[in-house]
Amino acid sequence: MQRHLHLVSAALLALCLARPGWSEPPSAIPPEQVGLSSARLGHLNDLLRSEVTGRRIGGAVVLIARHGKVAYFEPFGQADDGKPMQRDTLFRIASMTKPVVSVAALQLYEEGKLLLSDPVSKYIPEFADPRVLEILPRGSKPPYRLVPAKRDLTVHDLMRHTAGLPYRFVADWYPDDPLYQTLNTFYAEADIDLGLTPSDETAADLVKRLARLPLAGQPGEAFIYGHAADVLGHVVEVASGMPLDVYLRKRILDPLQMNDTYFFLPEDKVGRLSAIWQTDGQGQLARIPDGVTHEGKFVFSPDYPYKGGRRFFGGGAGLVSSAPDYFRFCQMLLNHGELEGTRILSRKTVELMTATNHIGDLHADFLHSRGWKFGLGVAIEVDRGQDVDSGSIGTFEWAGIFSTRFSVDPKEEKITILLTQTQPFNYHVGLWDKVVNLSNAAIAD
Amino acid sequence: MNIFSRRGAIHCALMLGLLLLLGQAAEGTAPRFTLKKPTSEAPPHLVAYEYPPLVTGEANRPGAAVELVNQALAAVGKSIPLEVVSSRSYAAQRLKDDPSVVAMLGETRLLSATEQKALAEEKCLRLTGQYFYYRPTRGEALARIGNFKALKGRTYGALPGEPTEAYAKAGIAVAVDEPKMLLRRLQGGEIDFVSGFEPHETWLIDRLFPAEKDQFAKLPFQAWESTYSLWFNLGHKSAGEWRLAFSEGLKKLRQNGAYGEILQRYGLGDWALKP
Repeated sequence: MQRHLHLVSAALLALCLARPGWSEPPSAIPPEQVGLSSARLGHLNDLLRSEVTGRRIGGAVVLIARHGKVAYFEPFGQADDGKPMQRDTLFRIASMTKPVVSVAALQLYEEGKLLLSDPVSKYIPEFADPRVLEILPRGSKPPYRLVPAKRDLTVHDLMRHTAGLPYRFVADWYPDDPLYQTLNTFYAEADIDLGLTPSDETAADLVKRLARLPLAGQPGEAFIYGHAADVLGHVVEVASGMPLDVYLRKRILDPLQMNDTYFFLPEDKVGRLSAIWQTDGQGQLARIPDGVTHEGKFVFSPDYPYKGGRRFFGGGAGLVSSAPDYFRFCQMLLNHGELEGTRILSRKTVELMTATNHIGDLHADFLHSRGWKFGLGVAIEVDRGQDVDSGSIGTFEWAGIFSTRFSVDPKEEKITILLTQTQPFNYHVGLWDKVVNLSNAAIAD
Repeated sequence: MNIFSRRGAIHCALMLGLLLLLGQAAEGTAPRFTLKKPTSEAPPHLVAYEYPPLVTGEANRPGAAVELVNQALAAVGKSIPLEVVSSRSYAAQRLKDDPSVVAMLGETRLLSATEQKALAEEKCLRLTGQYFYYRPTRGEALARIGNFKALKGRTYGALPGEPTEAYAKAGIAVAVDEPKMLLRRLQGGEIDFVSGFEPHETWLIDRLFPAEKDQFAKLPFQAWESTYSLWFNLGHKSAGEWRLAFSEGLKKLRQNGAYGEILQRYGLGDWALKP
């Protein structure tokens, strides 16, 4: 009998070891236990339900944690036609991949495998001797000239977005800006995009094409958000000697038990992936079908996480994840680099990443107006320049183009995550401002 | 300390040495990137845009056209750096504005008549274009079409800069986009057919739609004929010298069989220049 019990115990232990981590999404504790008000968090229910019933978003998951405990974790609306949103629904987190890849690069930095001051060309020779597109005064013919870069691009430039590598879709935002319009022509011909359509390419293919085009600004002289993290992802591949998916799985995702985070979903998880919804913000909502969709110059196909050659491990926008998984990533950063006894980064390196301004007098003005600086892979709130945000100084955050967003407030030890799959991206901005304000307003100690 | 005494001088030398050592150590923590002074005196070079299998940007298999140029120049004892960029417009702009660029490798049909006037052409190989369509959206209807006129009422996907007057005359609508976007739009059913140099188009389809490459089919008649050439900037002071060298070198390659061997190696034997 005792022998049988031993066998059963061993079998149970083996099962637990085979699927570590969340078998079920974490349940929320009473908010009051961590100094949050249930009643005030209840306003989030009203807000999100009104977004869903008003058909401004298809669905969402909101997770708020404080002092390491999840205190609010609610799904709203639909994940897909006929499928209610679940706490473990999977989302294309797009640019929320960038902080993960920044952590990967910083692990290599901690191991002496790369320096922030290393030239990118040390890892990707195609980046040697870059040229910079310099716009000439209006009326000049040609309207620009090409000048040599004053210095090499560095790994540091990639992590703080001072590498002069914008996204193509920025040309939609600045239709009269000759810099972005000219680069858009070059990028279109070179097929430079976010890699969000099924193909047989690798990220290295894209990065090498990018390296054969001019930069949008002198290295280090302008904050230009865009493809730098795709390049950084390939730097991680070269410096570590591993494909990015293998590296992240081995060094970050498995150790953090982020078992629902992937570049390409296994077949048995495809059914948990949310659809992407097109909104006009006024009540017209439609599920975006599979196949190539153009949102201006932003090109994507909702099926990219499970179709195509499954070889494009994009450091800039490739990951799919869930709210519980991304919470674990955020909590690791909030804990100064460790989670449940597993250390991913040192405290000093997390400070370098999330609590150090790396862009001097420049402004991280991609998601915000003024008031935000940039660390390594995350934006950092430094003053009250953005008048709608009640967060603490020192809060760091980033977002994804399918309307996902997170923020970590180290002073209040609070994490807020909003995951939706809504196009266009700019619709989520107002919603996020409300979510983060309600999250902050729920602090009751 | 009296620095004029022998002992003082030794002390001074030791201090100076220490300072230099410390200076060295400080330099060791300085940024590793190289500061560069802009110069207009860059050495002459050629530019090409990626166009597999003619120009790939890969060191071990750089493309048939790149090998032709390098070997032609080597045959007359010369060599020149060839920079591969990833955009055709960027390459063309470099040819126009960069004083160090002597010539560009590229498709003749995409250069306007005005552009061609300022340039001198040395042909590398022939290009012929085929029309492609996507079976799942247009298969039944297009499979039976046997000539250009029968495409009336359809929509053609053209490249920027491509001459399209003939399509307008034939009652064919034209949508302009980049090569990969055209294929995606073809697959999405927005356009009916595109054209391309078959080896390049096949390469693109393999890359973009590996699981569906058999769904892209050719119409049974030729779309266009052009050349792939080295275009020399007549305004460049050494363009004449390099043009002559390339022309003589290519002649040697064609005589000694190396020209055909390079094209065969890339599967491009059918596109050799006619004797």
